[in-house]
Amino acid sequence: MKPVWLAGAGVLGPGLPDWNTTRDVLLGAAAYTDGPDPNPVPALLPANERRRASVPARWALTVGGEALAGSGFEPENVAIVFTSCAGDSTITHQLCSGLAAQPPEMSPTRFHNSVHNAPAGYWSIFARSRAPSSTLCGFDASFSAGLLEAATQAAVEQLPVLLVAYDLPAPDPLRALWPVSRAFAAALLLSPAPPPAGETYGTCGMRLEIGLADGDARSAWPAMLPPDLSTNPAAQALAVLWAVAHGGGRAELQYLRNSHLAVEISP
Amino acid sequence: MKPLFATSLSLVSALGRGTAPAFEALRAGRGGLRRNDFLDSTLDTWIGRVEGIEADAAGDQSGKFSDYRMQRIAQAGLVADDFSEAVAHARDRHGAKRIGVFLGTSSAGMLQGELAYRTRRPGPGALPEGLVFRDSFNMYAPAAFVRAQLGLQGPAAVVSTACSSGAKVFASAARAIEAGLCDAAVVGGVETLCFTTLHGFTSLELLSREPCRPCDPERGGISLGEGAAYVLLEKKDAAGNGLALLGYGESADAHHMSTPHPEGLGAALAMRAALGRAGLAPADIGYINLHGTGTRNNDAAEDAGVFSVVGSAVPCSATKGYTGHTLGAAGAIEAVLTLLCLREGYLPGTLNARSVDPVIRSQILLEGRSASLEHALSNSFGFGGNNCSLVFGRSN
Repeated sequence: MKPVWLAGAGVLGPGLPDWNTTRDVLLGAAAYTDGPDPNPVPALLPANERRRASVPARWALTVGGEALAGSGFEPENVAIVFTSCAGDSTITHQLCSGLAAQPPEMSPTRFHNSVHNAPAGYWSIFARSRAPSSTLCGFDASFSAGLLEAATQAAVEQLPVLLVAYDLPAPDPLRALWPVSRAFAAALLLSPAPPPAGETYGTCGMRLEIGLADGDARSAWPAMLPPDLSTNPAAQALAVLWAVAHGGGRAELQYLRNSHLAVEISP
Repeated sequence: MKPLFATSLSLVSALGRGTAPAFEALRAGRGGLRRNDFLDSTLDTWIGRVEGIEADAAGDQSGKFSDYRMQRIAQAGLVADDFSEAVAHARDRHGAKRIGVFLGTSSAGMLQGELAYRTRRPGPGALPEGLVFRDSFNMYAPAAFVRAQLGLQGPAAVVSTACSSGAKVFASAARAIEAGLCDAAVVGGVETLCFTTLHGFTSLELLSREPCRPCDPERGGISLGEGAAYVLLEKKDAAGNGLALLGYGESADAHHMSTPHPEGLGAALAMRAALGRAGLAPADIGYINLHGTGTRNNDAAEDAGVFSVVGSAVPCSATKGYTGHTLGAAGAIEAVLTLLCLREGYLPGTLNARSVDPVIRSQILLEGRSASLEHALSNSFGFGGNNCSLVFGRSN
């Protein structure tokens, strides 16, 4: 598949407030400090929408905004691919609890926020972008599925594409069914072309060549990060970001059964 | 784009199992909606449910998947029209690793989760044992099931963009094939009736109390439906009938979460992009299968978008009066209906619409008629202002 270029990155997780901090942590230049899951308020959301927007939307818009900021790309020209395994499991829980009541209860705002593409819808509205927008799910491989779709779209349509991956722990009793305990989101802005001569794509500018490969992924989980974060499907992004931080390398991302994405990353 | 041939089609809906009964219903102007009798629901509405799905045998023989309503509907679609056999032949031609699976859904197996919450035990409130997250709440559930049943090992994903999901998978598959990730793809949609959507659309005052009447001045909202539809897309015309995906267009409204842009700006962008990829002019289109949900806002906004792109010269109709609005499967179900109309040379009428709302300026077909048809367009729009248009036609 044709290569794409990473032109911006955004990260959010416990002890990982942004890409620059994450890069320093992954390089060992800064110590990792575990902490509570952040409660982000994206700059993209107007004040009156900040409380109404769902938590996944706030996480997604925060990392998406970070990846786009200072990239030189305008949001109206950037297609988006959002991806999440569980979407908004808090709303899922609220809907199911309400529907189990007699008579059944339902809130219209909760219902429209429950669609898997609600965060992408908020992005389009508040970034004022009519560019193509998709939202995917690939169960445990949701990040890989999103990366494949975003890179394919960038390469085939020759269009910049913003990939945003997010997953948040589910409330009880859903937690027992889907035992992800830490929140994480990451965004990669993919360009179909290298930066103009003499320019760079900032601290994350890298060439990515992505292919499908047989067998399970072998990329190791960064040892300085908490092991329980690794079960969050969106945290697959850290294998790519590790290689980006280290100036290049090969990232292997688990995809479907007995297959992985091989991502060759180079300056 | 290079045409992708639709070498096998399959459809299960309120119109029955298989493409033949569905097309016969279109031709006869006979809908599949019934007064709501979904499980113990008491809502005053009409639904398009798949008859007899409760009595079907479990589709999965491997024991690896739960046997929920969603899996039954997905399986019914694989059995209908011998779709599984067609894919098995394609697997021989291309290899299992070279066939992708891209499916749309908006609620996956949510119904099973809703039923499980009714039986939560007191105390910690745990859900009943045996409820499998991957097969119920998770949006990937239909692709996991279908990929395994078909024995495919290529790339796979679920697109879940509400009511455009089942159309957008055609774009994802076309890109994956163009990028060389696979040589063929099973695309489609799977949707199950559930209480979230029944009560959700009720809370938004968008559910009709009579069979939905798209484009009618008295239209009162949607009738929900369920079903599955699949299309096998290949680079070569293995079926020899020339039916092909010629273009796709995607856009966002950037307007509102649950109300379309009133001038249909996003819809028009998607239609123009689809025509552009197909290398066609608006005058080349002989029929438009509208998103046509039967809500006041959708039908008026879609009309504004359609009129701005093709004017009033192109016959248009909505088929949701036959099937109900199948949400995440609607784009795929209507793609299959559009392909059947191309194959048979037939323009279906807009069932249940008695007259056309005077605010609508596009050419709405109230009655079906035969016509030679070369190219047709199918629209699908979803919550979040998510739009997708597909162009189908004959290619040599």
